[in-house]
Order: sequence, then structure tokens, then C-alpha cells
Amino acid sequence: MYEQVVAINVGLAMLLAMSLNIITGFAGQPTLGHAAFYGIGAYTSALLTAKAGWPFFLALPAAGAMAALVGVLLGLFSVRVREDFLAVTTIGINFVVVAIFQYVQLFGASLGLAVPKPEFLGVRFGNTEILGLLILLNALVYLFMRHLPNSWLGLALGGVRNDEEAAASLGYNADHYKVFAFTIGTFIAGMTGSVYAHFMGFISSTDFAFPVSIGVLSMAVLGGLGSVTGPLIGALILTLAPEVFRFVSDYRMLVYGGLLVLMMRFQPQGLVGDDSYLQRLWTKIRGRREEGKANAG
Amino acid sequence: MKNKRIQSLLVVLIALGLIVAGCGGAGGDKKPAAADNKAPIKIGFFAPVTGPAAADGDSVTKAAKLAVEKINKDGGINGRKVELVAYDDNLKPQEAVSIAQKLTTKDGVVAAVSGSYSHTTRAAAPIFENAKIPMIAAYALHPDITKGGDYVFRQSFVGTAQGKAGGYVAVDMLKAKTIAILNVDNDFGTTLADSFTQYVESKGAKVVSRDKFTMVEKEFNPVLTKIKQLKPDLIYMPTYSGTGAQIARQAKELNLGIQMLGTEGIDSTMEFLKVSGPTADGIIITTNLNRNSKLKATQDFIKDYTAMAGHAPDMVAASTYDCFMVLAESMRKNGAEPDKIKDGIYKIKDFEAATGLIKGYNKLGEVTKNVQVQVIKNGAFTYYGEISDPAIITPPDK
Repeated sequence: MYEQVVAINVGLAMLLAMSLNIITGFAGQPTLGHAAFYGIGAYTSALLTAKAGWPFFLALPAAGAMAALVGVLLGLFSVRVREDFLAVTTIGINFVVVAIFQYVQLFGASLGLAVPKPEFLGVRFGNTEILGLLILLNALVYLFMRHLPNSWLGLALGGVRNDEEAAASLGYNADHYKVFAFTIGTFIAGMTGSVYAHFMGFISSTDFAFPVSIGVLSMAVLGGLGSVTGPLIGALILTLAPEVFRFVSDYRMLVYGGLLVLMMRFQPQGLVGDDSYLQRLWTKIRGRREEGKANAG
Repeated sequence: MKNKRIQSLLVVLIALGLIVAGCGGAGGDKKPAAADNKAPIKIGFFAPVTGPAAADGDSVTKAAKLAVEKINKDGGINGRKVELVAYDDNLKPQEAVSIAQKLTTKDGVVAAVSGSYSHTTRAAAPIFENAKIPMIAAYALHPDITKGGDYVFRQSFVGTAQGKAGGYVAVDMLKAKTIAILNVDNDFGTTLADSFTQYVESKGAKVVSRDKFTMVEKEFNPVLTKIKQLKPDLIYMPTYSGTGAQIARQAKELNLGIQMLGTEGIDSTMEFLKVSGPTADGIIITTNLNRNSKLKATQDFIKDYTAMAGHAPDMVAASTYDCFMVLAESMRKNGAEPDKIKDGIYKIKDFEAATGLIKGYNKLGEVTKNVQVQVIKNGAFTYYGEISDPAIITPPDK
């Protein structure tokens, strides 16, 4: 069903945006190559199920683990390079990973890879089951994200993001936290890649190219980097927009890009970031209601 | 505290939205309106109107509109009008998948045409197969596209057949003994270069070098200089218009003086002929549109398309146009329900189309028709030869 497919696309985008948010939003490490980890997860899962005969439910965490392994390496890099340099490095990683998928025979090279539909307890996964799985994964990641900012770990990550030297002088080892953020973020991206591969049934290198990374970053930024709900909203809007605007056909990308530019001009903190219009509006409404209650009481 | 409230509320809303979206479709499963004899017949279509293949997307979209106009002008399908449901896939497989879902479950199309490339078509094909809605791929080459089942057809030569045809032109028509290959590194270039090599080597010719490049490469001087020193009789270059035009220009600048053989990939009016200009003269290609054909279908198409678009048609446009003509033929003879359309396509024999006489479709859904050999003269494609040898043009059926 069409609605299911759209919902699946939204679910995949939400997971990606949340996973990027851990690295770029919470730990403040700019990364422009997130699609690489999405791709590593997808190809790992595709190979494990199609060639090694693993069941999907083992391949799913394995895909995450594989992506996280590369993520740890990138995290170790990020300790040495900072900010713009790190951003450029991550772009490089994205290109390298896509080139490997494109040229190495094992990954199907230019012909891409066919991926079997997952099976679990004799049930062949259709779109309904995949959507169910995505809702579950989204819920788990969301719960994690929600508790992260106020936890000891989240506060440490925030410290690293806002002022690395200050955090270090308080005895926090900034390097450890950066690597940790990369590990978690890329693990989730890898799992998402696995779900994507089995949903599509066919993957090729260009599915994970640099523009995909930019797409994910746009989602997180649009909603509000570093906020818990922001990336979800960004993912929802940016995945639905091209579907909704399909009828404008030729002008679709123009409308889509234009909205993004306007948004960044007037709401650089993201739609639901701190001190955004929506948040202020909400605070106002709540304020009035409390007042009303107080008066009535 | 307030922050948390907002967040929980939003998340609940989003989750609800997802669930509603997921379940909402369950009841909305529309079947094509077969019972209604007055309603227009809908044919789905998708093409990369935006993104890196926008030039082809534009060309095929015009062809699709022209085809539907033509079918309706000729009386529709036994009195019923045909309606085009066209979408842009942005050359993204993920979008092609949602379009395929939309076409098969929401729009109620009875058949579809892919005006897109291999990866998008490959990802969308199983959805049409599962929905039992026939789909014809206009020019996507990936060999797996038709392998999923009965409902997916291909209107252009499968890569292996065209590679062989290229080999035939090289060794049998042009008598080349040493050949250099310069191919774009994707499924299109690789499949063609592989089957080309197989054919020419079986005929005793030698491939002296094989170089690959990406779709966005601009600089070919180093590799062309290398090839120049090897002095081959011929350069085979399965690639697309953008890179092909650069190769043609740079070869001229280097005064290469080696015969070049291209494929349908550079059979493009706006993107290849216009960009390469006079430097392309003398290049020979294998394709499926013979500009000097005596067939009325071909000449009518060329005339109508030129009048509509303001420039001559290319191979992707002709192939797309023919997909619609084949669907119309099948619907007129066999009925306008998906199953009957599928059966009707298998029954087609010797059908006159813009891309020549269609001999029929094999059990995989691959088309059999003559391969056209065209040469560029004064900035236009003209007749050079035609390959009708069954050993070359018969597509694989496995």
C-alpha cells in the first residue's frame, strides 16, 4: 500500500535524523557523511542474509555493529580533527564507502545487490511487518534520546559540545564522549540501513551517496539540532514534502528548496528548537491556561 | 518540564500519524475500474524529470504525452480515452518504489511504463509484478529487471544483445582488429563492454585496453592520449551523452583519428549532438531508432515529436513512445484489464512501431527487433546499417 510505503520512508528518515542528532546535535561533531554508515549497514545485512544465509534478526544488529565499528574509527579520527576539518573528513568517508560499493565485486559493483525479504517464525516480511519493526525501533531510539539530555552522559556530551576545554578542566575526557557519540549514532544508522535494504529488496551504491547525507542533515537542522523532537519533525516534513508536492512536478524541487531556504532564514534554530516561534507559541498558550486555572481556583 | 510536555505531545501526534497512515491504506485498495466502460483508461509513467538524468527525463515525458495524444486521436482504446498518470522519480530508487506503490494501489492504472534508468526500474519492477500490473521498461538495461516474473517487459535491447551488436559492427562491418574500450562504470557500461569483448574476441579481434570512468567525469585527455599511443583500429565507448560528448570533443582536440563506436547511450539530440557539435561527425552508434526508416510509424513519430518538442527525437523518446503504442495495441486486441494486457503483449507479432518492426517478446519479456546502426553526419544521425541476424539480436530467455 502506498500509505505504508510513505510511512516506511518517514520511519527510516526519522531513525537516520535521530542518529545524526546524537553525533551532531548532542555531541556537536559536524558530520556530512552519515549516509556512509547507512550504506555499510545496508550492505552488511544484504550480504549476510543473501550470501551467508543469516536470518534477518541476526543480520540487523550485525549491520549496526559493522557500521558502529567504522563509526568508532571515525570517532577516533574526530579526536584529532575538529569542526570544519572533521566535516570535510566525513565527506571523504562517504565518497570512499560509495566507491567501494561501486567497484568491489563482492558488493555487486555497478549492478547492485538483490536483497531477500526477511522471514521471522515463518512469516515473510511484507510492508506491514517492516512498518511495525520501524515503529518499534523508532520508539526505542526515541526513548533513549529523551532520557539522554538529562542523564549524566547527555550532560557530559553537552559540555563537550559547548566548550571542550571547560569540560576537560572539570575532568571529563572529551575524547571518550566523542567516540561514544559516534558509536551510538552510527550503530543506529547501520540498523536503519539494514531495514532499508530488506524493505527495498535491491540496493546500489548511489542509494548512499553524499546527497543522502545532506538530506539527513537537512532534516535534523530543519527540526532543530540538539532538540529531541526536532529531527523527527524535520524527517517527517522533508520526507512528506516531495510526496505532497508531486503534483507540482517540474517545480517540485524548487518549492522544496525554497521552503528550506526560508526556514533557515527565519528559524535558524529549527522548527521546534529553543526559542522558535512554535515553542514560544506553545509556552504562551500554556501560560494562559495555567493563569485561567489559577483564576478559577 | 514544559519542554518535555511539548515533546511528548508531538511524538504522540507523529506516532499516531504514522499508524493512521499505515492502516489508512487498508481500505483504500482501489482496483482498476474495469466495469465502467466510459471511464478513461489510466496508464502510469515515471521518469527522472529532476536530478542528474533530467535531460532524458524531459525527453521521455514529452514522448509519453505525445503517445497518449496520438492514441486518443486515433479513437482511444475501442472508444475509451487513455489518461497518463506521470510522476518524477528524481532518479532515486526509494522514490520509484513509492511511485510504483502509488500507481498500483492508489491511481488504479491498468499498466505502466518506466521512462527511467536501471536502478529505479529494478527497484520498482517487483512491485508491479506483485500487483499483477504489466510494466514495460522503455530503455533500462539491468538484466534482472525482467527476471522477476511475467508482468515486466523491456522495450529496448537487453545489454548483452546490444553489446554483441556493437561487436558485430566493430569486427564484421568495420573490420577492426585492435580495439580500445572506454566505458562508463555502471551496469550499463559494464554489461555492454563485457558482452562486446566476448563477441569480438570470439571473432579473433583483440581488446588492447579497457578503461572505466564515472558518470560525472569531465577530463579524458590522459586516457585518450594513452589510447592514441596504442593505435587501435577502433574505440568502443558504451557511455551516456554527457561523458560521450566530452570524449568526442577531446578526441578531436587530440587529433585522434580513430573510428569511434558508441551505443544508444549517446543517442540524444539535445545532450549529445548539440554539445559535441561538429566533433561528433563520423561516430557510429548502435541504437533502435532508424531516422531514415521507411516505416510510417517511425516517420510519423519523428514528424510529430519534432513539431511538439522543437527538436528531433532521440532513442529514449522513441522507446518510451513505443511502450505506449505496444500497450495500446495489446488493449485494442485483447482487452484493457491488466491480465489481458499482459497476455496481449506476449501475442504481439511483427508490430510496426517507431523503433522498427517489433518481432515479438520472449518468455522473459524481452523484445526482439533489429538493431539499427547509425552514423553522425552533419550533426544528425543517419542510416549506416541494420543488423537482423538472429544470432545477434535474439535476447536471452533465461
